[in-house]
Amino acid sequence: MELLDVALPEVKSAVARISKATSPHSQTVQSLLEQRMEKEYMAGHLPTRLKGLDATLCGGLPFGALTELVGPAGIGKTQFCLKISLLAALPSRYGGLDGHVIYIDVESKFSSRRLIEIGINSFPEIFCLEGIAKEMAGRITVLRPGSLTEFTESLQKIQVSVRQHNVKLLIIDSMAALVSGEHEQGPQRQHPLGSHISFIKALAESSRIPVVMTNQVRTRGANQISQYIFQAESRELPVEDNTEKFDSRLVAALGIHWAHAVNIRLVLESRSGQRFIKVAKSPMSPPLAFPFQVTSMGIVLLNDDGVEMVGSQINAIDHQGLLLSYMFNLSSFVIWKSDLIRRLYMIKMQVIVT
Amino acid sequence: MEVLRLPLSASQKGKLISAGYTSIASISSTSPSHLALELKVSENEALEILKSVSNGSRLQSTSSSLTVVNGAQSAWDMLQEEETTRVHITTSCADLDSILGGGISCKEVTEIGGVPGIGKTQLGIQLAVNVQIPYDYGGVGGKAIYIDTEGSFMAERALQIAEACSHDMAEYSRLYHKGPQACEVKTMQPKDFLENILYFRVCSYTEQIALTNYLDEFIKDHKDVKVVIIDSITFHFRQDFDDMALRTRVLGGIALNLMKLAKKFGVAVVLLNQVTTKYSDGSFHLALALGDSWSHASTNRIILHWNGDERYAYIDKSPSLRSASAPYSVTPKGIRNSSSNNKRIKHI
Repeated sequence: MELLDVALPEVKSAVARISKATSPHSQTVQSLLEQRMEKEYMAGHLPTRLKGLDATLCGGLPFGALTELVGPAGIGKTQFCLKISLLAALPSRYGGLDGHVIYIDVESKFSSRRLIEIGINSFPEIFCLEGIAKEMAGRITVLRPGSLTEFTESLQKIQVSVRQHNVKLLIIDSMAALVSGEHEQGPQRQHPLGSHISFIKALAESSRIPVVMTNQVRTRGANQISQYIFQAESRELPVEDNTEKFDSRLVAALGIHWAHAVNIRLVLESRSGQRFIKVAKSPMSPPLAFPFQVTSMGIVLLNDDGVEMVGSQINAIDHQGLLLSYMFNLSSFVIWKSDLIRRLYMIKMQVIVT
Repeated sequence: MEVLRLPLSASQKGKLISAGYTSIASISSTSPSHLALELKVSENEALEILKSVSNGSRLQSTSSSLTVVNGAQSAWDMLQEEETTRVHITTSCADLDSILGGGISCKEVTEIGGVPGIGKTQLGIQLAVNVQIPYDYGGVGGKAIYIDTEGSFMAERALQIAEACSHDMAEYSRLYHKGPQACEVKTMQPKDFLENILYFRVCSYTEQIALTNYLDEFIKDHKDVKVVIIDSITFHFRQDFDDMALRTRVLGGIALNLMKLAKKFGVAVVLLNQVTTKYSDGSFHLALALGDSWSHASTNRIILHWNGDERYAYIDKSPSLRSASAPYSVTPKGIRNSSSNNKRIKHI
């Protein structure tokens, strides 16, 4: 009122009108569903070609939502990302989205050779055609930001190009690497990736594209916070914490704030040498775990029905027997090793700079 | 002026006005001796005036008791009103309904918070479907407004829950409504359920504030809305705010708006909140986000948490409900009773 020097009723009506204009439009859920079925591919889902996973996600990775892949190093997150970027680039007659893909590769893990290898092995009938490999690989744009600031700057450019170039998928591999070394561990007031999350979500929703992000794991701290104050005060015997039973010493990086922000969380872990992909957080799926393997075709599910996990077990991340499975999967071992070398190099560079 | 309407003589009225008494409230609060001094009349006459004033006000007020302050309601009247109009929206989980006194109550702001993956969005979608259950089946028969700030709302999941609800209603109808009644009771198709959920997608905190202001007009146009679900109020307020004091003020404004909305239109306002870590009493523990000042915004507060392998709902704060904990589960049909055989509801 003081700013505009007008009376209260006028200010009230002005606020009301501005609010009405700024508010988003409403839509009934029925019309939303119909609209998506009509206009979008598979009613707004990107199929991963992993039958069990697609069935549980009602068709595939949803458009307009953030899907997170979290797991220990070398488990297959980048392999998943490569496969899915290929699927998005494929022409629609072969079941793809026929669009461009923006791949933000923070740790320099993107391997074009591996991408083509997956393509040739998974879709031999497509890739034997002349020039297809070049076109498919040409649709995938790889960005390599060296720091969080560079990433922030490139986000604006990404927003523009999403509109212009028919981008159908955004992959960020990995989010944790962007902030590692730039903030200290422990509870914080404002998350360093806060504004980025908002921006990316708004982008995903307005252009209706799926966004896939990978995340690293950290060792579970000794004072890992997991209780409310009323639970601590409760006089009855505490129920045994099941996560301890499963020898899980790992938790997803980036904290609880990040865990809230993602819409779907897929946990990749290894137990007794067998790798599992678990649907840990999803608004529409039951908590299922699927055993998988990394092959020349990318990721392959060994069982499409999945095992239902009870309780908070679905969130636990295990890495037992991972080394065992490395010996059977030489290519991923090489990637893991080179990744380790690169990380050491990066740390060394940071030390020199500071 | 109210004084002119009193059954008093003209000279008495004239004296009252010249002494400065223009409203009934001002007269009724003075003692007879004081009034006699002011008006320069005898005490008896002052007593007569006061009696006629109190008689007049009794005729005017709708309630049987004397209203002390204009515009307020006595507690008894509120109780009478509540007994007749208090309604609850079932959560489809009998244990949870029983600790809530029947379900989420309309006319109140309920805040529900929990760690990621515990089932907040699931509960939100379940309530959006359950609010539409018609009177004949024991429901409220209203529409729902779902405000999505995170993008967690999946229309396919809403369809699944609506199908399960429609199926349950058909079962109930088959068992309990027999004979001529059966044809009158209408069945709801999943499509009808989805048709009555009004969905808003909010992408920034400005839109969120604007929408909270606009809801007043929107609900006036859509009178049959009985629940407003905001999933989640926290998301946009955790990201960009550097100025915490501004955030507290803005949130306070939103809280007031929502409380007014709940009271004015008799809708249930359900706010889904996230979790953060807080330091108190020498240790870190989990707490609902947005700070201490926000914790006063809601009337009821429910915290969803893991207890071993089960999901539990705990009533953290409520003026009328007892502090208790109840298990629930998330099934493909939506929120249902937990299937374990352990001792269920714990009162604390």
